[in-house]
Amino acid sequence: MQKEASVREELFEKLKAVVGEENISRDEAVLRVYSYDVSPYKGQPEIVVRPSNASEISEIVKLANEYRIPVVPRGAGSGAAGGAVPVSGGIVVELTRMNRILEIDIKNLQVVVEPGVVHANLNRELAKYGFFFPVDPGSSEMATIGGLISNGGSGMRSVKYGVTRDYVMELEVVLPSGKIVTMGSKAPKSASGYDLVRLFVGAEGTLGIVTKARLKILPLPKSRALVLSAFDDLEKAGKAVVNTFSAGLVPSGIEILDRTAIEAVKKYNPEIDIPLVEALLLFEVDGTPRGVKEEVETIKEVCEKSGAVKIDVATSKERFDQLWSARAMVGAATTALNPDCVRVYEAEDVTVPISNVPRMLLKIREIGEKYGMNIVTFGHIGSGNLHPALVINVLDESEWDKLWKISEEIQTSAIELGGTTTGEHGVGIARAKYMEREHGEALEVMRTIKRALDPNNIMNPGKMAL
Amino acid sequence: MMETIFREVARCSFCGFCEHSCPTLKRSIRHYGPRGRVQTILFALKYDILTEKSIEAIYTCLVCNACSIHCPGKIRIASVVREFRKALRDGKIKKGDKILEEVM
Ligand SMILES: Cc1cc2nc3c(=O)[nH]c(=O)nc-3n(C[C@H](O)[C@H](O)[C@H](O)COP(=O)(O)OP(=O)(O)OC[C@H]3O[C@@H](n4cnc5c(N)ncnc54)[C@H](O)[C@@H]3O)c2cc1C
Ligand code: SF4
Ligand code: SF4
Repeated sequence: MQKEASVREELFEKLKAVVGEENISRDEAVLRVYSYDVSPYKGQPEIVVRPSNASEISEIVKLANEYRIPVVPRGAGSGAAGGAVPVSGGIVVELTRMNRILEIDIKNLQVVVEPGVVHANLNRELAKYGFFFPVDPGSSEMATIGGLISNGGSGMRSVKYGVTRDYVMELEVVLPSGKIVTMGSKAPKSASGYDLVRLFVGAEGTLGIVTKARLKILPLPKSRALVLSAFDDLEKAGKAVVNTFSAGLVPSGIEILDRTAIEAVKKYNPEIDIPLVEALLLFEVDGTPRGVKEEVETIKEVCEKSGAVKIDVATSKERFDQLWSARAMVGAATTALNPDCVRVYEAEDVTVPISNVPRMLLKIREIGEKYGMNIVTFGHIGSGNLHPALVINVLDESEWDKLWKISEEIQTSAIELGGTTTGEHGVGIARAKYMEREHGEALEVMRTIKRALDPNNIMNPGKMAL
Repeated sequence: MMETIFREVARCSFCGFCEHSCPTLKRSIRHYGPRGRVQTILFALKYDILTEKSIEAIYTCLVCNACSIHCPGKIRIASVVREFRKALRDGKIKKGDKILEEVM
C-alpha cells in the first residue's frame, strides 16, 4: 500500500507527534530488522513506532484508519508463523517498551501486566512470591506476554496446566476503531456475556492490540521429578503415554524425542547422557514431595509394562536441568548438524490426537525418506504436538522447493490424522492456506467477526486467511 | 574475508536464542540485539542496505560475546561484528557497492 510521498510525510509527522521522535523510525536498515520473525516469511514495513501506553496506541490506530494503512503489532518477533511480519507494509507497532508488571495480587491469584513483559521476567518476579504463570514456551526468554496471548501459545507443561487461553481473565484492547475496551472479569469465574477474552486470545493482532492483561497465577509446586523412559519402538512409546493417562495420572509434561532428535542432541552436546534408541519419553511430574514420589513409581510401572528398555529417574537438580535443556535445545541444535545447513521453521507445529502421535511420527519419517531429508522430530507428545525440524542449505534454491513440498505433505498428513497444522505457534502467513480445510464454514464466521470489528481491514492484514 | 562474513551470517535461522543475553537489547530497541546485528550485516552484504542507523547498530555492539554461546548455529556473532567493522573501516564496504556479487 504505497501512499503518495506527501501524504506519507504527513502521516509520519502525525505519528511522530504521538510517540516522540526517538520512538519512530523509517530508516531503511531499521525497517529491515522488522521485516522478519522466526518464520521464512518476509515483508517490510513503511514505519516502525514504539508506543508506551494504550492511548498512544489508540491514536496510532485512528491515524491508520484515517490513512487506510496496515497496522502490525509486534512483540519480540519470536513467532514462527510470520504473524508479526508486515506482509502488506504499513506501520509496525512494537510493544516492548510496555514492559511493566502493573500488579501482583497474590491473594486473588492474579497479575496484571503490560503486553511487552517478557515471559521469563514475569516468572522470575513471581518466583519471589512462590508463584508462577504456568504456561511455559521454549521461547520463554524472548516471547512477550502479548505475543503469547495473541498466538494462543503454550508449552511443555500444557498436559497438566493447559494453555495461555486458560489463564487470561481480562484484557484491555485497542480495537481497530481506536476505542480502548476492557473485556473479561476479575472474578475467578464468570458466566456473563460472550467470551470475548477467548476471541482475542489467538487473534494474532487481527482484531486489535492487547495493551493490558490480567492473568491467573498458581503456587509453584514444592517438588518436581523427571522420568526418562527409553523405547525401541515408536508405537510402544505412544502406548506408554496413553497407558499413563489411563492409569489416572496427569504428569505436568510428556515430551518425546525420536532417534533423529536424540542424535541431534548427542551431536550438539556429547556430554548429555541419554540412550540412543527409537524413542525417548520424558515425563515431568510435580506436586508435593510425597505425591511426586508416588507418581514416579506409577510411571515407572506403566513404562515397564509398556515395554520400556531403560528407565531413569532424574532427581538431582543438575540432571533435571541437563535433560530439560537438552529438550529445549533440540530444535535449534539441528542447525549445528551440518555447517552448510540451517533449520527453517516450517511445518514445525503439527498437532494430532494423542493416540495418533506414533503414526504422525512414522509419517514424518516416511516423508523425510521420500525427499532425502533427515527430519529431526520431537515434541509435546502429552498434548499431541510435534515439532519436526526441516534443515536445508538456504543458499540453494532447489532445497527450498523441496522444503515447501515436505512442509505441505507433513501439514496435510496432520489434518488427515484428525489434527491441526498448529498447536501453539499460530497461523500467521505460514498456515493461512490450511484455514479453509481446518475450519470449513467456521472460517466464514471468523471473517464476519473480522469485517464487523475491522471494516477497513487495517489490523494485521494478510494473516489467517481472513 | 567478505565471503566468510557472508557465509557466517547467512546461517542465522532467526531463532532469537541469542537475544536475551544481550546487554544492549535491554534498552529495548530491537535492532540493537544480536539477531538484528547479524541481519543488519546480511542486509548490507546482500542488498546493499547500509545506513547511519545500521552502522550505529554495529558500533553499539559491545562485542562482549554474551550472545554467541547461545547460538545453536554457532555463529561467532561478536567476531562477525568485529570483522564487519574492520571492513567498514578499511573501506571494503560502502553503500553502492555490489558486495554480494563480488562475494559469490
Ligand atoms: C526457539 C523457539 C521456541 C518456541 N517455543 C514455543 C513454545 O514452546 N510454545 C509456544 O507457544 N510458542 C513457542 N515459540 C513461538 C513464539 O515464541 C511464541 O509464539 C510467542 O508467544 C511469540 O511472542 P512474541 O512476543 O515473539 O510475538 P511476535 O512474534 O512479535 O508476535 C506474534 C503475533 O502476535 C501479534 N501480537 C504481538 N503482540 C501483540 C499485542 N500486544 N496485541 C495484539 N497482537 C499482538 C503479532 O502481530 C503476531 O501476529 C517458540 C519460538 C522459538 C523461536
Ligand atoms: S556481542 Fe554485541 S550483540 Fe552480542 S551480546 Fe554483546 S553487545 Fe549484544
Ligand atoms: S541465536 Fe544465532 S541463529 Fe539464532 S537468531 Fe541469534 S544469531 Fe541467528
